[in-house]
Amino acid sequence: MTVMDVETSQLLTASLRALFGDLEPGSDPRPALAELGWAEVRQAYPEAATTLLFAEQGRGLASSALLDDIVLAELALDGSSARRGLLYPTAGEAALPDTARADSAHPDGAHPDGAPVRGVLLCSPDVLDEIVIPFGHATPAGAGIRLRAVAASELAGHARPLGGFARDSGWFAVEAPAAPSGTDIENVEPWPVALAAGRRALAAEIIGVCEAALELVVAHTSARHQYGHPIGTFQSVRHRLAEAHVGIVAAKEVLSLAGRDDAGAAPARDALLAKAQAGRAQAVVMRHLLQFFGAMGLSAEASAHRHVSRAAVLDSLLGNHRMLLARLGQELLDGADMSAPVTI
Amino acid sequence: MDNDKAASGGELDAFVAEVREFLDAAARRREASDDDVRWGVGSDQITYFSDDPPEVESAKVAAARDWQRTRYEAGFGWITGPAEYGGRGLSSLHDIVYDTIEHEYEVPDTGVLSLIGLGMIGPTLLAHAQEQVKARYLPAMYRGDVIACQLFSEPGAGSDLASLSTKAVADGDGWLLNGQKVWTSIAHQSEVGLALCRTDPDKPKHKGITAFLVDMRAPGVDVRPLRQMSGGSEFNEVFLTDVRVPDDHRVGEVDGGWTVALTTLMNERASVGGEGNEQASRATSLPFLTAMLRANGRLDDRASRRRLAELYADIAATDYLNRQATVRLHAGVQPGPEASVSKLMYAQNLTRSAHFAAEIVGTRLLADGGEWGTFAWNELLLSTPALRILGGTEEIMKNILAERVLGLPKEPGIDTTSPFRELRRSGTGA
Amino acid sequence: MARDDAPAAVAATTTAAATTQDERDQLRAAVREFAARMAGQPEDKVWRQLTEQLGVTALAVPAGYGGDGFGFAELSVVLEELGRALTPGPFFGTVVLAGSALLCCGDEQARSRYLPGIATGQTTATLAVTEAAGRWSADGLTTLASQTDHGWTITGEKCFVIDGASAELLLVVAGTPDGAGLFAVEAAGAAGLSREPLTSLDPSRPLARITFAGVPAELIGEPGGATAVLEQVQTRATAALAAEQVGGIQACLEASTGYARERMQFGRPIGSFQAVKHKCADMYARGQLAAAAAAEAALAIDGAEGAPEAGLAAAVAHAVCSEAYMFVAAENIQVHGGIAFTWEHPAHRYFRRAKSSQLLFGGPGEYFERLLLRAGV
Repeated sequence: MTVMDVETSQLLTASLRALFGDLEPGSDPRPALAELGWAEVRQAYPEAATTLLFAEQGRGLASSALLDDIVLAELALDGSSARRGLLYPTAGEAALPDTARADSAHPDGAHPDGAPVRGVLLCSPDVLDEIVIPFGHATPAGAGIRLRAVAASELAGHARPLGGFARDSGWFAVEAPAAPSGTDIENVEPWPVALAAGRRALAAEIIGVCEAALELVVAHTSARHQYGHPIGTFQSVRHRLAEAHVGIVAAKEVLSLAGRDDAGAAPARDALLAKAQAGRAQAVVMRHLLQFFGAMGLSAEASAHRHVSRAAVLDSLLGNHRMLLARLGQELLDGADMSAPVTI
Repeated sequence: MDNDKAASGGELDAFVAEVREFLDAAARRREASDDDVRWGVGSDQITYFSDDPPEVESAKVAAARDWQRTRYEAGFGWITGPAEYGGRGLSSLHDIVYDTIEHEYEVPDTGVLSLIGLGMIGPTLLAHAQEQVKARYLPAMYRGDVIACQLFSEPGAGSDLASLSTKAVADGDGWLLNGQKVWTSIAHQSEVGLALCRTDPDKPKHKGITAFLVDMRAPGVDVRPLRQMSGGSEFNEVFLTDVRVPDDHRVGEVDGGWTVALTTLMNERASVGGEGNEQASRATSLPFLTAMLRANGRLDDRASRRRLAELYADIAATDYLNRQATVRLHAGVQPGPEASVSKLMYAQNLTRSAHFAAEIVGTRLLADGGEWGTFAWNELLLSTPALRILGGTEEIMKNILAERVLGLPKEPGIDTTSPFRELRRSGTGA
Repeated sequence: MARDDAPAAVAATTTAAATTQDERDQLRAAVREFAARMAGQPEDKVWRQLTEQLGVTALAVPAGYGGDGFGFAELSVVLEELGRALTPGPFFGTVVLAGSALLCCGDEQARSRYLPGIATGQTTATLAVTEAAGRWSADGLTTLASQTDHGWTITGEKCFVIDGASAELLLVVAGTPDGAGLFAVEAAGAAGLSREPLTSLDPSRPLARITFAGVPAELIGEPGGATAVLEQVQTRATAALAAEQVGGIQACLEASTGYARERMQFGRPIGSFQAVKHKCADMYARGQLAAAAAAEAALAIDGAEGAPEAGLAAAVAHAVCSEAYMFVAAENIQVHGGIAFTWEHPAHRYFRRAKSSQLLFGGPGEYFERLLLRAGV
C-alpha cells in the first residue's frame, strides 16, 4: 500500500477544499475532480484519497452522488458509458436483521425481494441511464445478493425529492410498488466489500461535517460574550466541546484502522464499526453545536442546523449508528470472532 | 384528577358550579375517546413548534381572542385580577380549579394570549405600570382585545439579559427608542410590547434599564419573522427606529426597569415547555410510544423495550413531580425550585423521545414515504433543541439551581458594578 | 406470642392512621438525631435502642398486632433517615421484607403469631427468595418443600438473603407440587439448617447463604399462594427501598455540596467551577425526581386519592431511584476527587449501598422490563 505523505495530503486537502468551496450547491463535482486529475490520485492512493475526498465534501456541506462511484467501482459497474446510480435501501430497517425472513431487509443492507422498492437515489433519475438495485434474499445456503440494473426512466415516475433533514441534499426518494424488470446479476460476491467501502466513505464524510461544526462552535463560543466573558470560558461549554472533540478523534482512529490495507480479519465489520462510531460522534457534536449556538442557532439563517441535518442524513444512509451497533451485537451473540483491531 | 371534589368549602363549590354552568353552555365536553391513542388515525403531526401558514395562524388567533372575550364576559377572564381592572379578585387556587375544569372541554387554545401577555405582562403592568396605562390596557388584554408581547432579548443579550443595549433617550415629554429585539413570540400579532431599554449607560448594567409599554403599530416598529430550523416562524426580530413612547407608558421607575423585568420573569412558570403543548404530548405518552413500537415490529425487541422503559420511568416520575407540586399549590404552599427541575426534565424527556422514535423509525425518517407516524417525527427532532435553550438555557438553569438552592458560590469574575459603558460585549473588540 | 387484647381476627388491610406533616417532621427529626448519635456503635446496640427507644419497628404494623397502625408515608420517613445515615441493622429485612410478607400472606394465624414480635423488635426476620442464580422470583425454584406426617420440611439452598445469617425468623419461598409456597422457619435450633454469611460488596447489608436439609417449616397461607404474595411484597419492598435510596441520595448531595463549598483549588472553592456546579445541579435534579417517584409510590400504597396504581408507582420508583442513587453516589465520588477513593471516606459506602440496592431485585436488566409489564406494555 502506498502511504500518502503529509505534503501530498495537505496539497490535496487544500485543492479539495477549494473545489467544494467553489462548487455550486447541488452541482456535480465530478467535472472539477476530473480537472484535478482525481482518477490518478485515486489510483495511487485508493483508500486515503477516498477518505480525503469525502472528508472535504463533508466539511463543505456539499451533497452529490460521489458515493455511487465508490460503491459501483467495487461492484465493477463503474466502467461503462452508461451513467449509473445505486438505489440505497430504506425499507425494512425496522426489523432486526434476520436472514431467515425472506421479507426482511438483507442483513447487508439490500432491498428485500418481492417487496415494494423503497430507496434513496443520490441524484435525480433524469440524469441517469441506469439504476442499480441490490436485492437480498434468503437461500438455503444463506443470504444472497442479486443486483438488477434497470432503466432509470422506469423509476423516474416514482421518484421525488427528499424532505425533512435531507431537503437540501438534492437526493431523491424512490417508491415503486414492484421492481421493474432489468438485467440481473446473481450472487454478487463483492457486495460486502462494496458496502464496506461505502460505509467508510460515509464515515469520512460525517467526520468532515463534525470537524467543520466543531470549528464553527469553537469560533462562536470565543466571540460570543455574555456576562463580560466569552462563553467558551464557562466550564459547562468548554468541557462539552472537549467531549465532542474526543468523539471525533475516536471516530477518526476507528476509520483509519478500518481502511488499512493489511486489513484485519473482518474488513466489513471494521467498516460497520467505523460508520457507527462516526454516527455516534455526530450525535454528540451536533447536540453541543445546537446548545452552544443558543437561540440564534435555532434560526434557519444560521448555518448550525445545516451541519445537524447533513450529519443526520449521512448517518441514516447504509444503516444508522444504532442499527449498526445492534447488528454488531447480534454478530457477537452469534459467536463471531472479535479479534482486536490493534494488539497492544 | 378530580380537583373539584378535593376542594373544600362551600364558596369554592359554588365557584365550581358556576364554572361548569358556563362551560356546559359555551363549549363541548371532550369525549374520553378524544384522548385515545389511535395509531394511524388523523394527523400524525407531532411537533413542538407549529408550522402553520399565515391564514391558519390568524384564524387560530382570532378564535383565541373570541374565546378569551367569552370568558371575560362570563367573569372568568382574569380570575385573580383586581375587580377595578376587570378581574374577579379570587385566589390562584380558583385559577387552577378553573383551568382544570376547562381542560375537560374542547375550547380554542388561548396560549397566544395567555402564555406571555396575560400570564407575564399583565401581572407586570399591574405591579409597576402607571394608573392610566393599567386602566387602558389591563381590561383590554384580559378581554382578548389587546395582545402583549415581550421585547427583552437582543442578539447580544440572551442569557445575560442585563447587558441589553436598546436605547431610550428622553425626548420632550416622552422617549425615543432605538435598537433591536429578538426571539419575540407573536410580535406580529401583538398590539403592545413590554420593552426593556438602556436609559443610563454610565450606571452598572442592572441599574440603568427602564421598561416601556410600546405600541407595536407605532411608526418605527418593524417586525420581521425569524424562520426556525424546524421550518416554522413563531418568533420575530423587532427593529425599533426612533419609536416615540409617551412618558405615561413608562412602566416602573426611570432606571428601575430591572425590577420590572424580574417581575415578568418570575411569572414565567410554564411558558416554554410544560403542559401547554397538546400535540407534542403524544411524544411522551406511553400508549403512543407503545403503538409506535408495535407498528414497527419492535414491541418484542428487548433492546427497544429497555430504551422505552428507561424513557418511560423518567416521564412517569416527572408526571408524579408535577402532580405533587399541584397538590401542594392547592394546599397553599408556595412553588419551590421543583418547577425548574420539571422544566429541565420536560426538555430532556421530549428530546429523548424524539431521538428514540428516530431510532425506531430509522431511515424512513429521511423521506416522506407517506407512512403514518414516520417522517412526521422530523419536526419534533428539529424543534426539541429549542427546549433546552428558550426560556432560560439548561446551563443557566443549572447555575441558578446550584447557586440559589444548593448554596454554591457564584460565577467568579462576573462584573456587576462597572458602568455598562465599560463592559466587554460581543463584537466590541478583543 | 399471642396478644391478650387483640381482636380475634384483624384484617391486614386496615386503613392506616394518618399523620400531619408536622408529626412526620418530628418523626424525621427523631430518627435523624438517633442515627447520628448511634453512628459507629455496635449493631446490636443500635437495634436495641431503635426498637426500644424509638419503637419504629411497630410503626407500620397494624394496631391489632401490637403495632401503631401507620402507613407507608410514615414508614418512608424512617427508611429515608436510616438510608441517609446508612444505619446498620435488620430493619429492612425484618420490617420491610418479612413484615410485608406477613401483611400480604392472608394467613391470620401467621400474622398473629409473628407480627407482634416484629412490632416490638424482639423478633428479627427476613424473607428468603433468591437462589444461586440470584433471581427474585417464585418461578424455577430449586428449594423445595415436601409434606410429611409431621408437617412440612424444606430442602435446598437460598442465596443472597438479607440478614440471612442473623435473622431469628426465616420466611422462605419454596416450591411445592401445587406451586410456590411461603414457609416459616424459626432458626434457633432448627434441625438441618446451616447459615453462612457471604462476603459482600455492601457490608452494611449483610447477605447469607442458607442451606436447608429437611428443615421443619410451617406453611403460611396456601401452597401455590406465594407467587401472588411475592408480587405484592415486591411492590411494598421496592417502594420501601426507594425511600431508603432517597435518603442515601440526600446524604450524597449534601456531602458533595458541602465539599464543593469548602474545598479550595486554584484560589477558589471548587463549587465555583461550572463543571462542579452543574454536576451538583444534575445530582439535585435527579434526586428531586427520585424523591417524587418514591413519594408517589408511598401515596399509592396508602391509597391516596389521585395516586396511580401501587404496582406501577412502585415499579417507577424502583427504576428511577435505583438509577438516581447510582448516578448520585458515583458523582459524589467524582466531586470529592481523590479523597473519596480512600477507605476511610464515607463516599464509597454510599456507592456500595447504591449498587447493592440497585441489584437487590434483579437490577436494571429486570426492573425496566418489569416496569413495562406493570404498565401493560
